Amino acid sequence: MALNILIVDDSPVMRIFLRKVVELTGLPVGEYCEAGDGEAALAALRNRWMDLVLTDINMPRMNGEEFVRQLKRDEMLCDIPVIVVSTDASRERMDRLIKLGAKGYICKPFLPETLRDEVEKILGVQYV
Amino acid sequence: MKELVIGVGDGGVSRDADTMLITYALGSCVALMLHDPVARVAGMVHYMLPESPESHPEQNTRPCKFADTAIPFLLRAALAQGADKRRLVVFAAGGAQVMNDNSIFNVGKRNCLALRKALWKFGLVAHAEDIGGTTVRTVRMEVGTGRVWLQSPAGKRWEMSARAVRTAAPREESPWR
Amino acid sequence: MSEIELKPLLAPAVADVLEMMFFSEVLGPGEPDSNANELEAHVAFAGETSGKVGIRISEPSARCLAASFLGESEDALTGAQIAQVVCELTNMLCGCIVSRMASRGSFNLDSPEFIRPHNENSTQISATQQSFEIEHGTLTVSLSLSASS
Repeated sequence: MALNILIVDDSPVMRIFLRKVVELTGLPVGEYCEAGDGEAALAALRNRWMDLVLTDINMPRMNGEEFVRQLKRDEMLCDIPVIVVSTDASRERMDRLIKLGAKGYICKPFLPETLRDEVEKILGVQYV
Repeated sequence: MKELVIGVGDGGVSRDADTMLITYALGSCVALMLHDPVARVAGMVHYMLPESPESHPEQNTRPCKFADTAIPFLLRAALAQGADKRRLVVFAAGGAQVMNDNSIFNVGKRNCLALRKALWKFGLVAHAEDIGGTTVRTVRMEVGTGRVWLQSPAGKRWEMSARAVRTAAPREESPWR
Repeated sequence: MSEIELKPLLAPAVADVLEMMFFSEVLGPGEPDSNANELEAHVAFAGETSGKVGIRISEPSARCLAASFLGESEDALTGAQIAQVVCELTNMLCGCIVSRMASRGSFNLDSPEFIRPHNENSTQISATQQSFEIEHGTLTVSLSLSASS
């Protein structure tokens, strides 16, 4: 079954980087969707089903924390797994996002394989 | 088991399951190894420096000497033998800071960075690495199984473990669908 | 915080960001070159401490780092992509530096602001700054704190 992945970051080049990391997993991806802020991300989620969301925090219009808060309040969308990828390495922010329901939190800068492993873990890839 | 020795600045690919690829005395050099467990193709390259000379990129008759030409060379050779990039298991070893490397530019570290840069260009990252430090390494890779062993000058031997074969798909039913 | 306390924050952040995301490294101390064709970007931050992190980077270095980041050949890059990578580099450096500076509490970063290639009219930031020699040129990182910090 092909997966749909939503990448949310206000930097177009960071969205390219994140897409390349997801491709490292070798998982079958049906569609990559992109959004530059939380509002656009919510709109995208209401148009098409996503199996995983990668989101930044610091974005204009609606930041990643508010985006995750609204996502988790939505009955239709609340079970979609979210991985936060952010420059904010503060314990406070991390704890808030995990409490809001984020499944993972990766701090920039990161090694590509670190995020690759997190994506695989959250999507339930098994190794034998 | 037959041995195919990969020399300094050389590379090779094999589909013979009875062959062991070997390269000796990895100091600041790096050995990159690829294995496709389905096609049973294995390749190894032993490169010395991070970048090929800018002045004569077309005339580089020793592509395996430099990371930026060695890695594409090895990938193309493996794919030509039937390997699938999506199945490749990637190992890397070497890049040590050798005792007589007094240069300001730490060649071992630069070789390791060049490895990551070149792999990233192809959408790859090593699944297992044994790099850096000061140990000179000898590397052996079994073509049939893809298993890799390292050995130090003192004779200590250890196996590199990448993750085992991964199931191709995530779990069948995502509860949120 | 004084310059003595701030300056040591810069080098480790530069090393980490360059190595992990750009597969590159600091080659040694650098000297800013006012005659060079440089690209510039700033990121403002606010939280327990507020201020701005800026970078100036030689154009050939920016092109090289952008190629590494995107996994592309240098000649395949557009000017817009290089500018975006310079912005993202500034963003990550800012996050890295501020994380080391703030002992607790989260912070917010504004969107990076790209300055047209360095010229006499660009903002001169009076700040803690350090230059680094990197592949094909120089990277200068500056950190300035708001008066109330």
